[in-house]
Amino acid sequence: MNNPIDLRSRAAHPHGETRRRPAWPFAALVLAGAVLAQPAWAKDAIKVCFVDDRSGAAADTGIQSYNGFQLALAEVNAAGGIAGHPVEAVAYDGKTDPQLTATFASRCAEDDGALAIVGGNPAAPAAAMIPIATEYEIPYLMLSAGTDNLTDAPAPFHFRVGPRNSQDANAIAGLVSTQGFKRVAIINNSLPFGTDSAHAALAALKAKNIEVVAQQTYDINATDLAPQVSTLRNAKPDVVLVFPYAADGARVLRTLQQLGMQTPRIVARSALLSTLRDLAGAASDGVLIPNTVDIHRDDVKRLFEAYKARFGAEQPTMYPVLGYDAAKLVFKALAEPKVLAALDDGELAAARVALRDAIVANGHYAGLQGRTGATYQFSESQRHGPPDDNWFVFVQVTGNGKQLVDADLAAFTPTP
Amino acid sequence: MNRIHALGTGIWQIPLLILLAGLVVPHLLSSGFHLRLASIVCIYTILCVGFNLLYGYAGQISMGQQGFFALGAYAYALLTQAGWPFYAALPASLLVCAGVTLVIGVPLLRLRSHYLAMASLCFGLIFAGVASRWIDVTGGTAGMMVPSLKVAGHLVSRTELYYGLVVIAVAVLLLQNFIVGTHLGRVLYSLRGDETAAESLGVNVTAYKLRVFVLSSVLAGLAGVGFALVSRQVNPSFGEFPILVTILTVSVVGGLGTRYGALLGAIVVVLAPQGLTAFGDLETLLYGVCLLLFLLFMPHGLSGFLRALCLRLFRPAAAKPAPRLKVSP
Repeated sequence: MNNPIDLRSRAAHPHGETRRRPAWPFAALVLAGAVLAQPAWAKDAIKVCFVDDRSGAAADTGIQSYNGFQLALAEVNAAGGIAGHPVEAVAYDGKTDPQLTATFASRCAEDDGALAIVGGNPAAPAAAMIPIATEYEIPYLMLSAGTDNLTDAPAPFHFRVGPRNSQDANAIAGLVSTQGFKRVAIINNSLPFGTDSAHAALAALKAKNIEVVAQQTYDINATDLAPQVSTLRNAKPDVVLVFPYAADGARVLRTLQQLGMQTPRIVARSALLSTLRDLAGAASDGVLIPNTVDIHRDDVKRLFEAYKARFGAEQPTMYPVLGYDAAKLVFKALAEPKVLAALDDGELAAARVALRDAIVANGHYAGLQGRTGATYQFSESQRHGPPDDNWFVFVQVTGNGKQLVDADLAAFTPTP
Repeated sequence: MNRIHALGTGIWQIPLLILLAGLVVPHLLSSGFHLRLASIVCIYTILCVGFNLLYGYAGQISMGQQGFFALGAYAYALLTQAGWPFYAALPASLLVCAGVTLVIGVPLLRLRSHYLAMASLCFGLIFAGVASRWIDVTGGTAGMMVPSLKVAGHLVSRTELYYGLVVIAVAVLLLQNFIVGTHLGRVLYSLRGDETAAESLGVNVTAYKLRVFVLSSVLAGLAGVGFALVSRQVNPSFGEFPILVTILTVSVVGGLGTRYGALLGAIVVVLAPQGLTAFGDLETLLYGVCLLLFLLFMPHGLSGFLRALCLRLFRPAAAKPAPRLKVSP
């Protein structure tokens, strides 16, 4: 304790008291070092807001997307920022509360002076931010919120980076058809994601003349799903489609297992979240999930290695990639001369308009979603980025729910 | 004691001060974001005054207020979409709220305590479910856009909308003060205390319960219309749990059965999350701890705390308790 370089040490006082060594010279040294260690940025920081749910029912999606966003941010700042401007993230946790999320979005637009807003995994908070983006004319890049009509209304500053529910549904219906399934059962939760997805799946299956033999809806908090699963079992389907959130999805899979249903299962994108698979354990093994990330792409592998190094291991799913791609889309557009000119003139409103135009102009950006060669498809009349083709990759759960691997489609066929 | 009495029960004085303060606020704010927060404070005040009258004064707990909040907002959005002007769409939306409350109120108000809470909660759940699934009418999860407010050809600005909300919030507080200070208020107190005893004294319990239920739902609908105008959108989340949680939190923080608890609670509940963002990941934890502290140390909310403080500050010297005398053995 008497080590003189230990700032916490106290020298013995002649009268038995202790006195604190003055710590300010060392603190000043540390502060000076910290200041000098910062890169000397020539220009003011450009702020980009990240507003999403990092607590509440959809916390996993928001946390992973924010991590992906931070990786892109670190990359751009390590490369010298954007024309000498460092990029700064201003992050808010909307707590899955649409009203709070909308208030944070307006704070981004007004108080923070952000150039763009990224975020929006659950549909309701995402929907609440759209009028804010329109009113303040600030580009808003929505992530995985899948409700189809979110991008239907004219909202010139709104862009969707993730797939919509009908695209998942079409991909699933395509797989069901290709694999030769004839009798489909659907089970979904009563939240907007569950009902919207089931609605889209019914339409997609009908378009392919595939019979839906049963459909069941349950409350997300229901603990006993045996009645719904029994109804499915009695309908004798040859494949079961599940549209859940994380925890309730695990209950569905465990109930299917407990009631002895060995039927092939396809679970919506929520099964990409480790929470669902951890809770379901072995009951999730063999499940197929539509993903928008091709795990064989080298650039995807590099991203998830960087993710692992900074945040810990994560299976290659769409959520970190959505945050990363959205950030990259914004950064690429920020580097456009018109945006930079408006920024240098201190014209925030003009910079936002120029940024919106630049995102549209770079509409065929090749990100990390989709198969190799697939690009986004933003345009003046198209604010939904993911294309219908060459975008989805099915992955399969294995290892007691721990791993996602290539889907073994040869074995994923109707049970004789 | 007169000063204390005036402080606690004056019908006009405090609302007038609130109105003056509310009118000054836009001149003190630096951005439209702050104006949005102030507008939301007014909206939650209107919403929670209705809940306060129903539960705080009459003792009838409704967990379906968020349903009426959404009903007012959706009715207004649908009517304006159908081409109705504001001055017709607003009262018509409130009439819709009143009509629905009358229809469901007659059977619901036969129930008491948690049975009434559960039944009214079901109404809220049903409404949110219908709003998210009747896609052709309500727009589903994406909801519906609400056009900017136009009155007599004039496009109402954010600041003008805020002034309108302040005036309505103060009018609602005045209405509450009037109700509480009259015969009707005493009837509501009696309902909260003992319905059977109230009936034995000649109070038409069913009629009064229905009246206050209708009034609270109309106020919820009015707040919903205000929120639709501020958000320029309605969606199913208007009728979901976060709104109910906000109502309950405002009640806990502000104080139930008090005249200005709704306003005080709304100020704290709207502003606190914005202030707590500085704490990053600890924000939610701190918010929860603060609410627990409110429950433990301010069971009557901020309103009760301020009243106790005023009583202590303004208590005349003569009214202070006399020092205990030591009695010699």
